[in-house]
Amino acid sequence: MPRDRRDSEFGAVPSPCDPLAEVLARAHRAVRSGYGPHGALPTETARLFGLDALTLNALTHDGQLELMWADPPEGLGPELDTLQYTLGDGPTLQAALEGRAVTEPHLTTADTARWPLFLPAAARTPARATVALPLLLGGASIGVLTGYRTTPGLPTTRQLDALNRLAATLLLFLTTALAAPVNGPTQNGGLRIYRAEIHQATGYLAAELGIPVGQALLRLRAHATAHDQPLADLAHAFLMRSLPADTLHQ
Amino acid sequence: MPAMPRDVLVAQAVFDLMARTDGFDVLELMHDLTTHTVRLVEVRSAGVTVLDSDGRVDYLTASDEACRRLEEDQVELDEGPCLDSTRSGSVLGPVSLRPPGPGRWPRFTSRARAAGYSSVASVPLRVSQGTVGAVNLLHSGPRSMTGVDLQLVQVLADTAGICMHQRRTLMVRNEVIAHLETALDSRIVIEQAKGMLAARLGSDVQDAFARLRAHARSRQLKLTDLAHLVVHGHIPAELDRTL
Repeated sequence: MPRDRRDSEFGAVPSPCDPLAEVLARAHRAVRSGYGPHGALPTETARLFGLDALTLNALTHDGQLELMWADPPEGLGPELDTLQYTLGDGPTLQAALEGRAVTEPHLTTADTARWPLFLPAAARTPARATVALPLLLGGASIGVLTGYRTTPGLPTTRQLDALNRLAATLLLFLTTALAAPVNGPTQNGGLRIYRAEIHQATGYLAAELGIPVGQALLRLRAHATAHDQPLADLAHAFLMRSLPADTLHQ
Repeated sequence: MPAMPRDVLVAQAVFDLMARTDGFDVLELMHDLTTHTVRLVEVRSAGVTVLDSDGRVDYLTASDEACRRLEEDQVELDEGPCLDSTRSGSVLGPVSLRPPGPGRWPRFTSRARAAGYSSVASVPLRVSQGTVGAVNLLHSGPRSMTGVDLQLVQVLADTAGICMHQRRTLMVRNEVIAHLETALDSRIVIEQAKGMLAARLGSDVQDAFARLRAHARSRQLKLTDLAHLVVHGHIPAELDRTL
């Protein structure tokens, strides 16, 4: 499909009177041109989606989540993010782990068993509802987009649809970031996404090591970078069993 | 002239590429195109690459892993018959890869030769007048591909192209956008599932893929849906059992 036609499909959504569609179209174009969320999304983005705070987390190779962006940049979003990081449970972590969307429209009345540590702590903040969307590369969670509301209930269906579109755009951003070499001009750590063996090795290693698929992908990439080895070659070596899977544990 | 058994096979292949239900998986259509191609023209491998106008891969599949790597190599090296045929919109070859070989793809040629291939040809994949990609035929062995072989592959490719076109026309705009975003996703999840199943079965990925496909076909599951199940740890018992 010609590029202009594709872009117009994103851009031609009724724009001036529809700020939500406009933000989505702009974000998509910005990410395609290489911008990150800071450049692609205006302040007050969260409000358009019926949310009071939005956070973007990226998975790291040791299975942790790292806050990449938040709107607003201070306050509720980063605060609840830190809580989850410190306590070890919560919607963002669950979405990453299970690879599916997590919603809780009533944080104060939810069954504590759901997030035994997060729920009591969140009750002391203004947060009353949350929605967390995993950013999935195939079956691999490589990040999470999490929204919080200070009033109970979820955003409208239309806002949730738009949030899913935003998640797809941010996935594109994370993928582009993974494709860039970590340090220096070598191509080695870069995820060349069309290389099937990289994804085959990811599935293989997840099964062999008993770790989530997203973590397997990031460990594979970290190992390639650390040993200055082309990612595709490393993937091939694992698949051919010429390199034992637990090499990645070291 | 009386019908020959082979005529039936050709007609069945065309019918199979044409008779898709709504919401079919384009990647599966492309894979079936490579399977029919290999069976009907008796080449060793066939692969398909569909590119967007920025040269990024929309779909890429092949009848086997060696051929798939060479499809990927062409994108990475930015040279090869599949790219030339996509850009020119015309049939290319057959071309011998034996030394001295075609000078226009030095790096592709040495990789294809290392994989044991001796000749290559490509036919364009056309969707409503425009060329979106190409079918690559890779062969080794004494018999060489003929112009008639390529005509047959062009008919198969055109059939798949019409099917893609109809699908695009049927989809409303929002679905087209969503589809573009999920095309990559479905390709990746299938690869992850292959790797995961290969680990579970102690097999190679090609074997794992054959099983995935056979299982999806016999249960009338979409390959992508089955792959998602596998990647999330729900491996059907029949797949897990060693044959």
